[in-house]
Amino acid sequence: MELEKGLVSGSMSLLVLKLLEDGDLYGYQMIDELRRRSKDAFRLKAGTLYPLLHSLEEKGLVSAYEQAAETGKTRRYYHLTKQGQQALREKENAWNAYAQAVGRVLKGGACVAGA
Amino acid sequence: MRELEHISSYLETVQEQIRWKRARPVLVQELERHLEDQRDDFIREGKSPEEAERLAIQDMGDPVVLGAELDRVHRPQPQWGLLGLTLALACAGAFLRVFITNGTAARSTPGNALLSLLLGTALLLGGYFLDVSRIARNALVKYAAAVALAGMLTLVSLDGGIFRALYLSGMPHYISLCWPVFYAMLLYALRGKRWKGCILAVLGGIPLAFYCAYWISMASLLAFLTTGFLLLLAAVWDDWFGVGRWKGTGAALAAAASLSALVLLQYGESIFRRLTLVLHPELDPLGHGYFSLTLRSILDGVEWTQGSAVQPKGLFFFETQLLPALLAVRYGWLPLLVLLAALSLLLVWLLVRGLRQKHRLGRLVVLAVTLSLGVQLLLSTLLNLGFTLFAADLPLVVGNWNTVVNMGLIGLALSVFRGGSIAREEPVFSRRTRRRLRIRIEYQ
Repeated sequence: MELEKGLVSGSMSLLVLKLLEDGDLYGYQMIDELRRRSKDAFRLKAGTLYPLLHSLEEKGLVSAYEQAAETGKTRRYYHLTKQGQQALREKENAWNAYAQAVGRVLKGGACVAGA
Repeated sequence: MRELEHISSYLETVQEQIRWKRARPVLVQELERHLEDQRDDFIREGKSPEEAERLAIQDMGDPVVLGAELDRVHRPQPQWGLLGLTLALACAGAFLRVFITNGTAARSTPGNALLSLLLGTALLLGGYFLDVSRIARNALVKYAAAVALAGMLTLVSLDGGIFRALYLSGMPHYISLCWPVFYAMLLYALRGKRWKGCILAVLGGIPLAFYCAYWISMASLLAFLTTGFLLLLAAVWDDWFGVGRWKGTGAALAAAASLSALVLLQYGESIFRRLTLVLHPELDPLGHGYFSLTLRSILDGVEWTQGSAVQPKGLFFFETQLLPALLAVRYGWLPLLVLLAALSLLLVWLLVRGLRQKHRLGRLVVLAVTLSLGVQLLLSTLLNLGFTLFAADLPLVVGNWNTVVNMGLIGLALSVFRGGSIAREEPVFSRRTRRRLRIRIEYQ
């Protein structure tokens, strides 16, 4: 299922930080992993991912390092920093609160999540 | 989106949107690798190379939008505050060298002071605009060049002629202030080399330490050993060698403790005697304590905003290193305090900014510069207050050549801050790179 762009873009940094929670990844792996985990719902363009990653790095939420793979190609891996872990928790909480509120409205006032 | 079918033309369009020229090749390198990966995957899926390249480009998105986004994130970070403070202190230093020391043997001529200021400013700006990634390139070669220079200066000091004159000018001493930066490069080059790297890191400090001890002074040796040890500690704490933070730190501390124990066993008594005399010069009033006692008695008459009523004979201040004390003697404690406070502010500012850097060599270079100048500041302050531990030059104030070298070092630190956002580290090859031989067997 392909989702509306606006729905995805607002939560993109949350998704990227979440991906890095399980281990360090380089950009290409992130796009693949996101597509796999969302069952093809999120097809993130590289042109959106890299500026986002660089901006997260500037904010100190992720750090990056280069490592040579066995093929001889050098990859730039991204790593979730402690500050990034904290930001991820905050974003997750905000997202859950938002999702619950939307759910309640869609269900016509009934409490759906956390009830 | 413009129809671009080749990776190179796509990346060129991205680069055109990025205003910071130095950032362009650094930023597109990652995009290029991504595009190649994507293209190769499409080829594996059965697409033709041309089709695969076109699809990879299409997948990445509009190059103009991507370039503009990268341009927004990556801008050089000007360091006007630090540049201004450094220049202001260097100007104040030049002024003091000419006018405060007037009437003493330590006076610098206006021409020399101005020349050092101009040369220092050129080095400060040269360092400031330097690409910090260049420091990281061939780091081991740069360290080897420093060791070779140390060896050469040691040899020429034995000979006569122009080299001897250069040696006597004190230049080799000021050059030794740069050794911590080269030692940081050695540590960087030894990343990922595990215990071998740790051992080489300790051994690598020996030639530079020998140079400081044998040909310069004990103060230089102390400054280099302190700075070098703290740099090594910072490197093992960040686990540069890959042996684990605690194991590496333990090994560095054990090495430092063993070295200290050896020094104490050999020179313990004389060190204790020297420290006692620093605190109680009255125990040897006509010998080692004479200088401290005389200086303290002169400084006793100094008030906050007024110099000493009894001005000492100029001959006492024949050493340029006593310029700060002379400032207090002539104009009171307040101007000296302001000068020391401004220098401390500059170093703390550099240190705090440096510790926030994400580029590891950049962080260590700033630490090396700050510690190198910080030790000089501490020793010089002690000396000028009558606690004669070691002779040292006050950074940016004492000595024309000292000022030039100090400004160059600060410029190097500022280049780390300015270009930090695009600074890239050389990859660590943790495993030997292997190329796999693929054999394809086709059945007819």
